[in-house]
Amino acid sequence: MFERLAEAETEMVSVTINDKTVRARNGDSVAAALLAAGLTHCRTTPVSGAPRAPYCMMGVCFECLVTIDGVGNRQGCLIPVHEGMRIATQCGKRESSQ
Amino acid sequence: MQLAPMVGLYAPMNPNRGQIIVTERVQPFLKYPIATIRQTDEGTVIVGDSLLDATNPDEVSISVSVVMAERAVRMFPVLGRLNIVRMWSGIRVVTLAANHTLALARMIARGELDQTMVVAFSIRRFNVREAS
Repeated sequence: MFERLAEAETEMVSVTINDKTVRARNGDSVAAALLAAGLTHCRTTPVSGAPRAPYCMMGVCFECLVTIDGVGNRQGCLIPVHEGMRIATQCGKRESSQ
Repeated sequence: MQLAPMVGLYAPMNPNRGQIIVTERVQPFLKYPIATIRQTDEGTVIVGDSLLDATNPDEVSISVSVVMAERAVRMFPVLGRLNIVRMWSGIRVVTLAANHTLALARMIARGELDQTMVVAFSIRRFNVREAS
């Protein structure tokens, strides 16, 4: 869906998305890394289960909620990726233990 | 409290303010409502049992929220991980809603009050000297 601009090549980091290793650009937000990795949605809503994807990319809409390094309901668009980060898409409500 | 005397009524009222903390939605962890903590079907957790003798509903007392949150986390440590999405306070209102919809509506339609049912709710109940 999204392609990176060739001239924007910078240092890359490895993260995992649902246990699959993915390359992201250093400085990417988690939401940008998810979109660049080709994910069509990053969570399902807690009540109706509708699929949702990052939308506003600036911390307002809360559509990009994902589990990051074991902590649920984090706003992917506000958190920069780091080497070894574990990202997991979230199905419905957050687990209270995460 | 100010309105009643304007129309010649004596209606003593006690202000009773409560406040609550609401968390984000999480997977069900609490099957039963308890006095201070409830989890809704949709997953939000509502913490709150405060009772303040105050009439200003616009104010959330942080010190009260702190006590409620500390107690909640002591009971269910898992709550300590959750984000709070809102806190608010309000004046508790006791209504006769069930009576209004089930009984009073029929009386109004009939055009006549059933005295045996409504006498207990007469405004006279506030006048202690007369009632006693």
